[in-house]
Amino acid sequence: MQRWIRSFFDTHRPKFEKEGRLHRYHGLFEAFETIFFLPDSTTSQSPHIRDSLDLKRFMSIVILAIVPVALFGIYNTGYYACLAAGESTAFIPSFIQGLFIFIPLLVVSYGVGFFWEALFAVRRGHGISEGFLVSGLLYPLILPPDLPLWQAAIGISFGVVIGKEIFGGTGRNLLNPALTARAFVFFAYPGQMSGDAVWISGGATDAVSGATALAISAQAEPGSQIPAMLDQAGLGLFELFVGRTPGSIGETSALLCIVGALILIITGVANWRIMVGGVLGVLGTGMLLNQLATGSFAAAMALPAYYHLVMGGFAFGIVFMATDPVSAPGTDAARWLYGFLIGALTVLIRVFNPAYPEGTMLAILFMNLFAPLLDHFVIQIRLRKRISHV
Amino acid sequence: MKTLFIPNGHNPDLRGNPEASIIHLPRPSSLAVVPSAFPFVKPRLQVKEGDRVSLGSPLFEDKRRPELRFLSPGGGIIENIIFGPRRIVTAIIIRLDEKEEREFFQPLENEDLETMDREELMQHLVKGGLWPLFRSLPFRAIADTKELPDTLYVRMDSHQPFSALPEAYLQGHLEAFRFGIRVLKKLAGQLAVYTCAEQHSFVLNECQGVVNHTVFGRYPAQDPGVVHYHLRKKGNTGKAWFITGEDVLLIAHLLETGTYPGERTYAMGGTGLASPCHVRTRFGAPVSHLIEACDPLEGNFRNIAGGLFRGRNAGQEGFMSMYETSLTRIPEGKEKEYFGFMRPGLSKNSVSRTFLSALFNRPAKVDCNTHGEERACINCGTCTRLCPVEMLPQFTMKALHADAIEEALAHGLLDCVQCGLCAYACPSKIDLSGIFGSAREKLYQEQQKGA
Ligand code: SF4
Ligand code: SF4
Repeated sequence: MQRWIRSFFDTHRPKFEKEGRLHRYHGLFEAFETIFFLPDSTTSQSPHIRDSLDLKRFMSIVILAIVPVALFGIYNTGYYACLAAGESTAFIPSFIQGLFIFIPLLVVSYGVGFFWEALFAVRRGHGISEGFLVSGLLYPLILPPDLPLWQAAIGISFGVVIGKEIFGGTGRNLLNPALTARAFVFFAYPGQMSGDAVWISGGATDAVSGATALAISAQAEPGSQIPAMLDQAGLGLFELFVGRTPGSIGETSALLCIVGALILIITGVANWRIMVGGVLGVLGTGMLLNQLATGSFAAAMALPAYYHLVMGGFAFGIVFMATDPVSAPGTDAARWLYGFLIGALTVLIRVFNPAYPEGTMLAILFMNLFAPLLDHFVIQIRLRKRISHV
Repeated sequence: MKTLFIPNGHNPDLRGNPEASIIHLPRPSSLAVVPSAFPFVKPRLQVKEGDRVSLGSPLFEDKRRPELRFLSPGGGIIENIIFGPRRIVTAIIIRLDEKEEREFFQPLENEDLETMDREELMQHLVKGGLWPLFRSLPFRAIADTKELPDTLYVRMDSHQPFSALPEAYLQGHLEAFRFGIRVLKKLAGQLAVYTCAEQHSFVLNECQGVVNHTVFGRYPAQDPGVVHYHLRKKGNTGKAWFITGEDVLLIAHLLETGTYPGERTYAMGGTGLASPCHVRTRFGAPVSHLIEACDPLEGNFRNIAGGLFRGRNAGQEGFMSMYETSLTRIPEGKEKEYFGFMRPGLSKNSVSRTFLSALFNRPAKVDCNTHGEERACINCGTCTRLCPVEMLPQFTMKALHADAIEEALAHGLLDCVQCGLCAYACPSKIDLSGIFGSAREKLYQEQQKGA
């Protein structure tokens, strides 16, 4: 097998080399070849040795961490779709139903996304970066399962082109491409993104209300007891934590996000400071609002702060989106602050802006914009402490 | 004794460490000087092919600083002068005579040292051709004879993988080392001799009163630039020079015997050698002469003189240069690894914890493969975590890309000790230390022009 693939690439390489007629596509060729074979490039000067970690493996580990969330999300989405359609909700049928919903979205995301990636890579004459492997997987996981595929396609186009490529591609982008794509879909097609029905593929029936915990919390009358209402809707703290609730495909299970977080933290691929900062931001802001809550204000102010950790996309966002190193700050102090502010903004948006109950994604996008500024301040402070050279 | 702790840095655990034993090699048939290995030196040749030279007779001088003399490591006939690109002299090769002639310099007694003034002592070292062993911070150029440094650092151990241990090179030369230290004391306001405490109880015991600093930390904690940076933070500023412990022995040899030193102990390491150990042989010996002693393996191997992180590719036919005390032989690694990025990686070498090797504590095998393609910086911060002088390499690199030299300087470009750790660990395979190296070089050249 290995020899066969090797000879396949060796036979076709000449066409993509300097003199070959397909030279302008050499970036594409290399992208494919390096999936199978790491390049044979060697160092030309000191340091003579290089670390074994490269971006391919870096990104593969992020994907590995997302897989449990994605698998559960597929099952969960399928479960609610089956429930709505009045079909069997046993594990296997649910999972298969979920695959039918998820795979088309994934194919659109990767297909359309790679088209743009490849187009820009060929035009600019550089290689295709591995970063999109992650963005392309994250994007379908934060979409409502019922989203029409053409809207998903337009969304990812916007995310890749505007969120990333116009800044110069991976590493130079300010914004997280998957989130940019999601935000575009949200603002361009609000009809498809809001309301209760969208969270369940095939539309909600009476058997399933389809309302998410966030919607319930946002629409609660002042003075009402949200936890009790959630319990009644079958969205108790435990269900929310495990993720047996309607919602975006990948977002519902805080438990599996924690599993992903552990993979990312143990391997050191994602920065734990952002995650811990985010949790502190949610709890701190939530508890502050709890203190200030009185009967006349939004009911959500009185919601126990820890509910925010398990509701909606916070866990998913803080673990997989906020930690995207490119759009996050690069200094440790700024990472703490960045995480904390994402948590705080999430709670504030959720509580005070019922029109947009899901605060996390907006909070992260907003903080993406400020990440360079946070870094700038931290660097200025560091530089002031530096003794200049005589 | 001052104790210094350096928080950042990294010690990879690699296969192929040299044994402590020392093999004494017979005389090689030829020796060479490698002018390109001297920083910022523009050689003006004083010999031509066919000339007869003796041990210690001048081969070339620096065009900009003609007082710097570079002497022959052996007596014989100039067999070949090799020029590299842009007519840079890359090697002056001397075929050794059966009976080598040698130059004589005036030897110094202990009492002479007491009465002699600094200027006179310096002239001894300049004439004896060993002045290039003194280097000055921050550029690590050869020290200026017209300057008086506030501090002179003596680095005992480089802590690069497979480098010579003080235990090995001091063995049997302790008296000479102490004499050398007395010489250095005359040259600078302060002498900071330091070593890494835990590992070198031998040095601490044997050199009581000589070693006055201990440095804790991983590679490159022992680098003089790193030590200087951390002492400076404690309010210790001023002009600094450095020299290595191995070189102190050369100085002692020159002054005690009145002859140009002829020998060195080299640490031989890496998986390309079946029996890595220390060898003692002539200064400027051919690489092949050294590796033959340690049973080199057949295949595509690279011989690196001066360490994995900061050394140079010495080739198969090359020679050891004046500053180099270690020779490492590792595989080139010019292979395409099948599904390389998906392997569990039980014996991969990595700073990160993304390979299973992170779970086991066993030495890794390394080669010169880059293990991936160059990508844009993803702001992961690995480089920052390793940098021993607390720079933010990714931001400094971006400043340099934007031609913001002032900003890069504020970031500590001149504190960079060129340890190579940032480039080594970067998952985007960006040659950070190389970028800093060329920026520093340009700055130095401009400073010289301005001066
Ligand atoms: S910038 Fe890089 S080469 Fe320079 S000291 Fe820091 S880690 Fe070493
Ligand atoms: S290690 Fe490389 S990719 Fe990571 S921040 Fe530094 S320069 Fe950027």
